[in-house]
Amino acid sequence: MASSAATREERTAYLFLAPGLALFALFVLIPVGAAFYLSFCRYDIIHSPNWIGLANYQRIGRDIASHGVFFLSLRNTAQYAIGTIPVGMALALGLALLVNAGLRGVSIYRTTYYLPVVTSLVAISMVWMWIYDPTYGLLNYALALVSRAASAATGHRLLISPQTWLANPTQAMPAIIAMSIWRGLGYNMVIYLAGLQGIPEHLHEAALIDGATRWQQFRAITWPLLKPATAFIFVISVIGASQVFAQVYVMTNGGPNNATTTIVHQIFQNAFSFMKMGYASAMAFVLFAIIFVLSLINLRLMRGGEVEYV
Amino acid sequence: MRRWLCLLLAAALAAGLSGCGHRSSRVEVEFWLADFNQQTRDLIDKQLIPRFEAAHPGVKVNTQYISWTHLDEKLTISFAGGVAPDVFQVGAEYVGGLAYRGMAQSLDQYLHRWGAKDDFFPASWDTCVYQDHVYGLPYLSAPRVLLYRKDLLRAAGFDRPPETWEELAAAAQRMTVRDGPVTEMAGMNLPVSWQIFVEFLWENGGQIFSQDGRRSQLNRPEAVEALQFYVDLYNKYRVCPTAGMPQVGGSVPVFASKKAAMEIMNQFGIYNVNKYAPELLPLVAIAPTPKRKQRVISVYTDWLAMSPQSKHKDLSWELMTFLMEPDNLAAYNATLFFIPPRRSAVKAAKFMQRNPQLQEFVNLMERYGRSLPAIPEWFEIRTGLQSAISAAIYGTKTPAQALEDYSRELDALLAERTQQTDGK
Repeated sequence: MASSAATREERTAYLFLAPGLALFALFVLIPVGAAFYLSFCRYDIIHSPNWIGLANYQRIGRDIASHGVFFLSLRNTAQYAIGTIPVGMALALGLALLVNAGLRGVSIYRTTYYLPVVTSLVAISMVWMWIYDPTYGLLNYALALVSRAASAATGHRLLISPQTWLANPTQAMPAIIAMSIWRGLGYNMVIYLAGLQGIPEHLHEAALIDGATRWQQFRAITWPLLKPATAFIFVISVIGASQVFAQVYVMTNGGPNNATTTIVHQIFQNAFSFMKMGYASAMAFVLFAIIFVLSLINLRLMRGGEVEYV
Repeated sequence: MRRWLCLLLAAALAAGLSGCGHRSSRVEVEFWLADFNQQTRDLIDKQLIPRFEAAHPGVKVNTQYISWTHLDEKLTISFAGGVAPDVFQVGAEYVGGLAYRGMAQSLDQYLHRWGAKDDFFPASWDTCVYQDHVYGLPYLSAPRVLLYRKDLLRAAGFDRPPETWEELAAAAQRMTVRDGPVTEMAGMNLPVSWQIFVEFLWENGGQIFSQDGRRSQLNRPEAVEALQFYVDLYNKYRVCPTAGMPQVGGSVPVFASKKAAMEIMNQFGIYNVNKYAPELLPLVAIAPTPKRKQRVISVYTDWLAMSPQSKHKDLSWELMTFLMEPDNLAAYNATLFFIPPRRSAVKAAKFMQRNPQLQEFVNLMERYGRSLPAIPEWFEIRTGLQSAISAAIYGTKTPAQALEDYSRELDALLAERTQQTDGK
């Protein structure tokens, strides 16, 4: 009797779960399975897929070995991750500490820094393209002002020439990185802020009584207790950086000289410009493998050593 | 209860079917246009299509205006879904891919009866041809020529435009003005673009790939020389625009803002001068792009294709030929400032007759015009070519190395399809 009630309960539970599971299967499981199948095919969308075994993966291997475009996209994506994550996290933590320091109008700061997060990435990219515009851009204008002021002050002709930014292969990726840091700042800050507000006040008070300096308090209390927040931000940022696409597509379309092409940009280009769905799917599974391995490493690094003060 | 439900369902089904039947008595033709502005839409929606519909009772043309950024995706998806437009516009680089994938109808059967073929400029016509079959009709064209400032050239001591690469380099150097690292006047405005390279390549007697489309020709000396010349204009003679000048990623064209003495450009060069600096117009002249072994003017033509999926092919053909009538073609091109690809349409176009410079574009296109080679992998080739050229200009590779590397890639790419077709 009891077991039949349990079965019924279970059935009811599955019934309630069904709509969600159906959607998950329809829009996630089946497409992922289909993409995996397609990664072993030649497929141009118009004609039916043609099984070619491991050829797409072999092609990726050859590309990486010969430092081809996919290799460049891996390198650029790594550059983007290294450029955005540590700086972005440090800045976010700094801001969170400032905002948490009991300033007046905290909510105004919080909202202001959060605004770019909720703004469309495409719109933001367009705005930053104007900032980086070589002729009319704000950045070159500021550069000209500084240059003129410096010349006037020193009496020397100190001309910093305007830069092409997004059109320059060495400046384009740093330009995209700077914009992306700015954009992601608010999100990371809010998570740190939540972490900070979860640290009980009495711990700081106790430390203060013991004569700890602010730096010591930060090192012994704040930073260890923020570890879950840091871990979360780090994992999310690594995944986000591996998938960077919109700003690249809008601002440079991977150029100049492939200096900003990323993994997802390559997937997009091969799938929708070159109609190589199979090759693009294979790239997508390489990306999946990369993210999977990185996430495992992250979990391993973050596990253990959790600090709790009572 | 159940019987009632069945009856109700049957009734609804019948109503739905009869609705469909009613609709099918009227023929609808789906037409996608990618080159347009508000003027074009007014012309098409208020004049051309109503006239076509009046002449074809019971026919409705649904015109959709699709931006170039979305055209490829929408075409692919509509073909995959079996709902492709009957007639659609594509660009100068499409014929190989469309024909190979079965996304464009061969028009050979209609052309026998039409007889207007020889009225089109050969370079424009070639744009729609793949392996000796015609897949479309040219709708607008843009030849690229040398635009130059007569006043600056004269002041630099030249009494005629440069005719050879050497003269081009000399004139560009003489007209370039620099202040420290900043270029005040660029002798030659050249974007970093595969289009410019292809132009130099052709002038030097080279090709991108062999006639049969199986082997790269980019590792040949003609190609390396062409890229070397292009790179030299940038890095050795330093006659090209630098940062801080308009249109180096910015928005006002550099030639029209009086920051360049020459450029290789289509008729939009004239359009831009007219728009941003009309006082400059009398000082601007056009000439053929300087030659090396031969003179070539590259011509970019957008054209109308018909879907093989179309259920109304004859009607689609009628719509296409209606739009190609000289007056209609002239009116369409007038809205966009393109050169009509048909001789009688050039004659019928008032804006062409009013402008002697545009006439010169036509003369050059007629004499030296050439269209891009048709090949299914073109978009991939173009992207790879652009990377190779950028690598040489930005100095990460020598021209010879960049082309050697890309040649190997291109050979592999071409082999992929030829193996596939040979296998079939």
